[in-house]
Amino acid sequence: MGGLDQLRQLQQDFMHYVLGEQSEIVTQTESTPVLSAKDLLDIYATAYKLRLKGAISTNY
Amino acid sequence: MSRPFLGFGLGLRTDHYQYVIEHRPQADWFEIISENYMVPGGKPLANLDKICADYPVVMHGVSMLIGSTDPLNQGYLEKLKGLIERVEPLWVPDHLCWTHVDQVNSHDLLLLPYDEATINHLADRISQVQYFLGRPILIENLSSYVCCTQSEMPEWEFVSEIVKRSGCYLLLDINNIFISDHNHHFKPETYIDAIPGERVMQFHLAGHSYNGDMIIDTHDHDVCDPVWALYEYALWRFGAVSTMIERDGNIPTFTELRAELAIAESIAAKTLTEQQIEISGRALLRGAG
Repeated sequence: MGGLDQLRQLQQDFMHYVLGEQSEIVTQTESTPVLSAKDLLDIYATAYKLRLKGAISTNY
Repeated sequence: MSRPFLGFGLGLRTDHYQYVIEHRPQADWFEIISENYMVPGGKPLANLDKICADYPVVMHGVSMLIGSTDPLNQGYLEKLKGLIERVEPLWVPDHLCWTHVDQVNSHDLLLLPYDEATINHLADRISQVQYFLGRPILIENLSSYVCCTQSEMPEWEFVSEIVKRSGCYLLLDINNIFISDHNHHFKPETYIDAIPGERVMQFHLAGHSYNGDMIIDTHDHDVCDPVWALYEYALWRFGAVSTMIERDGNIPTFTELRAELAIAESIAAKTLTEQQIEISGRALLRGAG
């Protein structure tokens, strides 16, 4: 797999992770000396949950 | 498109509608979030019409799907074109990112791998959008917290190559460069030095938050000193570039935000040469005074 198919797979994996679903994205992202790839991806997943919570709080 | 200099502007937020309409405060221009006005009518559009009567406006979007592998959203582009005809903006930026896949919206600006296939994908889609809108667009660099293993080049090469191949322009977010520098450990000056200066049409400035070892792009604080220093470096590198401050959380009064914008004016006035000030006109001379 390469090119656009690879990009699409990466986006699907990233989205699954953000939504809290099974995902292979951790293997496609880099860790730093301080933080693991999972820690870094959790920034996006947490932000999604906070936005969802904010939208529900505002509207209901 | 040569580089017009609009001076110093602010992101227009609902908190400030009434103040701006009633008091017509001094600001050279406003940047709106396009999606907030893609509606058939009502109060947002009525307020926008009043503001457009008094100020130049730039239309900044967050949902163009430029980097997504989903098809471009023709309905979105038609609404955007309709709003462009109504507002007659100076220019139309969006982000170099993806937000949707399989029609699911992340409500976030998500990063892309920096590789040849992604460059081709984005350059092609930007060209399609520009053809449909009948005008070049601007793309904005992201802040990011993670890197893709499939990336083959640094972000600045990726951005520059897309600009070159698509013929679009750049909205350079100085705060985003600072954040990504901190999170990914590169020198921000290296990024700025590598960008094709003739394609830079606008700067964004904003504040951010620290979360442990990471900086998060929250737009909920004042612009910090290191970002002001990087702004000064960017002015030195590119000359006069239209500049605005984004604020999306802990929003201060309009007067307080306008005072923060005056810092940008004073930095530009002391950084740019006499010739650049002359070319740029009124706005910089006011900052110098």
